[in-house]
Amino acid sequence: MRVIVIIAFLLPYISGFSQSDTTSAAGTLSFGVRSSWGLVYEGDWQRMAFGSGAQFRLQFSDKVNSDWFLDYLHGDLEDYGKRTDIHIGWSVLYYPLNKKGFVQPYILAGHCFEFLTISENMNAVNKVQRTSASIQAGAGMHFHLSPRFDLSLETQYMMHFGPDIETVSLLPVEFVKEEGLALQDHLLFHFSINYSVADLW
Amino acid sequence: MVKIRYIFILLLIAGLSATAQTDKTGVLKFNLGLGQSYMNQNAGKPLFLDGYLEYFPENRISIKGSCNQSLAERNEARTFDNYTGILFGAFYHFGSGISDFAVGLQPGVVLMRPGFELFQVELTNSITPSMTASTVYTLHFSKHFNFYLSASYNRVLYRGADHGSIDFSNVMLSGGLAYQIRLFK
Repeated sequence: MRVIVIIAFLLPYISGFSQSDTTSAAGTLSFGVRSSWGLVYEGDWQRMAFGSGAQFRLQFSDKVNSDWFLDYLHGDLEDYGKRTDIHIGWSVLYYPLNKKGFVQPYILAGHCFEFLTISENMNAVNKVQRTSASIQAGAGMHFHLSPRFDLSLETQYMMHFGPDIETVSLLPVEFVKEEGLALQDHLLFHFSINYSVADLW
Repeated sequence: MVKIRYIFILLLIAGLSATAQTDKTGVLKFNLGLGQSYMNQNAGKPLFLDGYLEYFPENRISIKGSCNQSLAERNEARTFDNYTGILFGAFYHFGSGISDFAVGLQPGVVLMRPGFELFQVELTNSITPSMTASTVYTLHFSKHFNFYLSASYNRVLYRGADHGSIDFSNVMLSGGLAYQIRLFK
């Protein structure tokens, strides 16, 4: 009888411990796809970019997540050329609120590598390429449609450090990659859909 | 009185089994259907082969990979000489029983070449990003078959034409017969 009473007394504590283990989001691995809509700054913010990408997320703790992404974007250079951007990078997400509800806001910052190709319309062999490193920061929100599934909206400012590519003439179209480092800015809007597939620890 | 109680219990069991049957967790669907597309910025009306593979990890959530291949054109001039789209995304399902409504988003990429007959210029194949927002109604009329009707908005732009980009964003109405199997209960 005494043993039963002791076990009954301990049960709530045991179940409490196991519950705290299972509700922690640390170790959650999720995969997702995303759509990117951007503005590229080259003297003004008129250059629109549009792309698709994929990502996976690995959550380090209840308040810190990481986002590892690849984006493929296209944009126009007025009516004479196009730009093709490939972004490969990672961001750290921080959740300032303690409670994970339907809406979970976050701030993010991270690094990225960009592979940019600028080419002439109707003459794709006339092109210039560059590789640059970038930093990005922004904010977003997860909308948890189920415990394992979320729709996320985020906006971020991305700054590239790399050689500048200038269009020096239009007839004929001529691109020049300049020496040294220059800054180029993106303003990006993403929506992504993500599904958690594993709890790694 | 006893008979009424038995009938009540039988109805309850039948109801529970019906609920269990409508839980879509573990269901895998696949199909090949047809889609009629209407271009927003030009008169093109291409006809597509519409295929998908869809898996339900949860009752209300599905992960869906789709493929669109242009087959023919309602107009005389073809909108595309080549169009192959691959999309991947997820859907949220509202329905219950034999009727299912779903909304979803699918980013993707398209390998496309605009039609020479329509644009009067020889353009090259290009891989371009796309995004599709869809609503789907599905009628589960049998254990292994269902009919579906879908309306989707696809955003696609061809970059690099002689006067900049060509906007091929379109609305597609598609439907067909799909097959489904339950991978686990």
